[in-house]
Amino acid sequence: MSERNPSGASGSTVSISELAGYFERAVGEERAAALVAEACGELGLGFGPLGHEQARSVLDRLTRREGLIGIVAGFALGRLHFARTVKSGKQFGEAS
Amino acid sequence: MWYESFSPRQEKEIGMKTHVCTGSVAGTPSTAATAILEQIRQADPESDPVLVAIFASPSLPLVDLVPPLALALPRTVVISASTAGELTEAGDTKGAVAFFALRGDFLVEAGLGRGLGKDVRKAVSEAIGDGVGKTEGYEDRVSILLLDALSGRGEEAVLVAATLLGDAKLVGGAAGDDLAMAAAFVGLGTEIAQDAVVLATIWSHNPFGVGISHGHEPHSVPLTVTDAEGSVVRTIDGMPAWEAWKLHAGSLARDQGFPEFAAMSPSDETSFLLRYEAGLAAGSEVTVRAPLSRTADGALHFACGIPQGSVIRITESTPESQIASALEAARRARVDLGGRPVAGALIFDCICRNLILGDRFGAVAVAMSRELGGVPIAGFESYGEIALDAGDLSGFHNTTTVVLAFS
Repeated sequence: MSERNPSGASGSTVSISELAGYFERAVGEERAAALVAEACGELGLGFGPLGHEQARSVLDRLTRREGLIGIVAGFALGRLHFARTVKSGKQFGEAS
Repeated sequence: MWYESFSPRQEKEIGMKTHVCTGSVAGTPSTAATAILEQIRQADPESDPVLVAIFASPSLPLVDLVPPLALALPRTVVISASTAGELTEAGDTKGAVAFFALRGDFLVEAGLGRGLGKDVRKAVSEAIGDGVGKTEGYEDRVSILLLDALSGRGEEAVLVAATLLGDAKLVGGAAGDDLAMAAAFVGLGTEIAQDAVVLATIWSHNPFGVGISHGHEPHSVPLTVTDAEGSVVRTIDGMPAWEAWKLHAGSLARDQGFPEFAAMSPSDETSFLLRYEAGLAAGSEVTVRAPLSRTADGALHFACGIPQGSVIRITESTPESQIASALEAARRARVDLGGRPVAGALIFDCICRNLILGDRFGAVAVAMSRELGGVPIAGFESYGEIALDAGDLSGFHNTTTVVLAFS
């Protein structure tokens, strides 16, 4: 299976487009970009690269949405954590 | 929750060869159950399968068909789904049953969760239960999800399962009801339920091969979902969703021989909606979303959530691209096994593809078996297909072929 994994390219920061990528397959790229922009705006974040904690806070904010969006955000949080764990060489279960 | 598990190591030596037995039977639920049992036992009178999957038309209700089978195979995990058509390596059927029986050194755990529409997290959690955990010596696993997509929670259920299972490979399909769009059922053992989800996890020493492909392309201009709640889309670009579909896909439908809208029967309307589905753009790819039915006020019901503000494109496909995509899915599953021979495969294939391919659909099933090495295959025509691997970001699809190959 081949689907784009925005987390795969992440380094120490996460771009807005990477975050939106988590939502694209489920809600489409236009809505995905709007969702992330809305959440960034609500949190007073700019649209430049985000630190991991900021990225987590954006996804966490979106987990509060009803229905599919909240579920996708929860799934994305796990994927973001996984990407960081792999990147840093940490084992599962270690504090991040 | 209903939960079952079985370890063949209690009786069998580790390393026993994988064997798949499939078949298609018709008749009454009682005679069909008897015939399936006979064929399973003829394949190997000495051992019971670790897993049996039953895919049955609503004309053979699971509640009548499956419990006698499950009771006759107490050491086998029996999962089931109602269908909109069935397929095996011999072709496709309507109004019949396809079965898949797996023998070999596998561990199988399965659960059933109810109330998918009301509380997707609770239902999926129930289906997963406490039993899933890595089992020593069995390095590979795959989880099969069967669910009732008429609950409107297809994608939600897959993502919740993926979140809870971690890095598991997920495949499966949404139960059908011969396009009535009224009631779809899934089952585990003697338990059969509507608005439910079944999750069966299979552990193996050998890899599983998964292939997925679809052949749809965007046709319409971008359309914005202007009023939606859950899986119900009320308006698109400010007009009733059904009117938007007629406006943007009507000419295509007429070219393909659909009757004028005023003359369409409910069945024609369902076929029209499933032929011209919604596409969500994700870069160069498209996620296909099937509108399953419409209401009198022009709202469309989908198999999973479509958030308000989403931008969709109505899609189309040709028979040629549907044939190519099915064979590509089979090829990918075979390649995913890394050169190991395929013992058999489960196929989750969209009813929409049957509507496009018509009489050629059965021949494509035969060709898929051939692509896999001439092995037994069994599956069903579904209302949604499930495939999600570690790293994937979505797992619920429509008008897609999903192949799970066993080695």
